[in-house]
Amino acid sequence: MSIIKIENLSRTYTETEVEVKAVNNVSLNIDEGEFTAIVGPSGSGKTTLLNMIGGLDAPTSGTISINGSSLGELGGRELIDFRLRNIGFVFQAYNLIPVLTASENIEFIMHLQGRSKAERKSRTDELLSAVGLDGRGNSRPAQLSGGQQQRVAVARALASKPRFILADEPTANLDSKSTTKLLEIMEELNKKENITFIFSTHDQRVVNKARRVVTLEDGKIVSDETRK
Amino acid sequence: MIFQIAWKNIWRSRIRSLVVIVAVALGMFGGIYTVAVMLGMADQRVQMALGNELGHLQIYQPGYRDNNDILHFFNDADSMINRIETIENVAHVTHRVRVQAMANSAGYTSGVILSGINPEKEVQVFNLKDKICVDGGEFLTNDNTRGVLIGRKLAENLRLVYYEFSESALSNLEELNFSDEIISIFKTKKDEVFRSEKELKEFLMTIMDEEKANTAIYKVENATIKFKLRNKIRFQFQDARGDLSGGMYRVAGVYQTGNNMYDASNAFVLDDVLVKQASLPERAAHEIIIRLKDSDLIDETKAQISDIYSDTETKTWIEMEPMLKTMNDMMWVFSLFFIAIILFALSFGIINTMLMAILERTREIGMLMAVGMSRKRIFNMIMTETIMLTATGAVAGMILGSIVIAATASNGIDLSAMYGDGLAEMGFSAVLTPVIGAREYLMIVALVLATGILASIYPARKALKLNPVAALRAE
Ligand SMILES: Nc1ncnc2c1ncn2[C@@H]1O[C@H](COP(=O)(O)OP(=O)(O)OP(=O)(O)O)[C@@H](O)[C@H]1O
Ligand SMILES: [Mg+2]
Repeated sequence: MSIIKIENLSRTYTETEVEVKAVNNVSLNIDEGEFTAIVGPSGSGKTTLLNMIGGLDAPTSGTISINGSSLGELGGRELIDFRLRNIGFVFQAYNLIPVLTASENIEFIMHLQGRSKAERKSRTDELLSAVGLDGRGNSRPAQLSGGQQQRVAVARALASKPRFILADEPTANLDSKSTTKLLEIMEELNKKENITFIFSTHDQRVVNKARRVVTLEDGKIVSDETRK
Repeated sequence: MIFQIAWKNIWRSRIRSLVVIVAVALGMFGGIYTVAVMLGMADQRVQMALGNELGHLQIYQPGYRDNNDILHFFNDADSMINRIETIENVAHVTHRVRVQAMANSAGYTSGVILSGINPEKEVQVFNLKDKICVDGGEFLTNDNTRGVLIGRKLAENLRLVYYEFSESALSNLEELNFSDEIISIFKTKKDEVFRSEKELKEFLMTIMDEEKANTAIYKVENATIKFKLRNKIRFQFQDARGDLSGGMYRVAGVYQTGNNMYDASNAFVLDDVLVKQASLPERAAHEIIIRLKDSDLIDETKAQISDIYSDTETKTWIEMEPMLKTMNDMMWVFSLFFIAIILFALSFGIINTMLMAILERTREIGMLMAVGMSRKRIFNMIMTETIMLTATGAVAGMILGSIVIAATASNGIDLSAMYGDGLAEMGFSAVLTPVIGAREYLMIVALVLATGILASIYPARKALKLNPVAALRAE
């Protein structure tokens, strides 16, 4: 069953001198449990597409529905709440609050959701161990490597028990070892916990791990292949 | 958790936050201390007036206050006092017989209010007994039927003082950082007597310039003054029958309240003696003065007395000297205004700091919005941070202020060397004791909070305007 349904989605930037069709008439369905990479050259519209799926940016035309509810129909506060409950985000950088420890960063999301302290604590420990960071909960982001920080970001994204995780170039700032490790963890979460991942990347090694690869060029889908 | 994050965020840019905190702390300290000194001055003025001149409540015959007519007296003050003493909140009661008199001593005259008092009761209500000058004789006693107590200013006006560079005066002066040269000139005048302030001043002007002499005169006067105790003063007044009457008294003691006006115009003798001279009934009195146990209940007690003696005029000290109360209130309004200005100036620094903090955290705030932190929560976070920043400085300033106030309150700040006589002319004590009460602190805390809130609105709104997508893209 599709959890994300995208129909004729376009996003045109008009503030610039020349009109830019960053996303141009894209239709796409994503099912639960997918492990999908969005690829394409720089400027092809990956970030724009992910931002619209995440409800951070509004399409110029077309619709996105998640689990049957259309994002375009949600008002500002509903949208924030919707994001908080349904979507986990991992960005390329600046994922964490630097003054909080890894644990506190993870807990913070659950705090926003209004979960009890006890639940927050136990889930945080679970998540830290799921991303291979047992015992590093008390470290501040600055005391962790870039790869470890991104793993904390994945754990943070999972904390709210979202329907899927959007990751915009999560490995762009990482060396190859950290990239491999992060990918392994994401794959494992996908396989064991059936967590849906949609991530964009430039990196061919990351693309190779994906089970479905959607390629964008100039805002259009030019290929969409699913592998075994 | 918002509080925890806000607090930690403050310390991200340690120096920058510290600068603001220190600025707020110093501003608050300066503000609070100045306010405490101002309030202390006003409060002292009130305490002085209460203790020396007014008492909490005063009772008169209707009309007495209009022209101090000697005929508006109570026939039997003693029985009134006995009755009033039974009222719950009344601590002590005394009475005074008062006539407007002309004081005359060796050709010098001065208009005064001559009061007849009962020394035992008087000291329970007023603290004049503690205000007797050094070497200024003693307070009235029941057997001193010819003794009169006069203010230092009156003594000066009647030339009942002289100035002399005696051994002890010189040793006092030596401690007051006069130069050795000046001291040695003083020593040459050892056996000379200056009969008035004017003569003494003229002498000082021959050895120093006018400006120096103006400040030195006060110290020199205080060190060298001698009172002509047991000298005679003749008081003349109209008695109750309208005839000229009066009596001869000897100076028993000289007091100094710190209010020169009062000291220049009030003399005290025994009531028994004065009623006879004034042809008044034996137990007559013009005013009955009451000291209360709890001054906050003054209006209730006044009402009780008015009920018992409905045909008299009962006045609270505030009604007697509305200026005192007004002055206190005004001091407080000025103080608040003063602190508000300081805080207003500080708020610009606070706003600037917070704007910088938000600018630095653009991406982070964008990320927080993206992952689901509502605008309201972002707003609250920035607001909390600003208020905490302000409050930290304010609390530090208040603690510093309290410590310094406590340290200087016990001994007071002695301004007598600089302005002693000037302050006394206005009825203020030359030793300032800073005071500030819980109520005042609360008001200041409220002002600080208001400043924190006001200063936080602009930065918090600025943060709200951030668009998460743009913020995350920002380079
Ligand atoms: N705020 C904006 N205003 C104008 N044009 C924009 C804006 N954001 C993106 N674009 C343009 O939209 C197009 C798609 O940008 P987008 O960031 O989605 O590409 P991308 O595939 O994520 O690229 P990259 O791999 O470099 O991250 C680009 O041509 C970009 O210049
Ligand atoms: Mg991008």
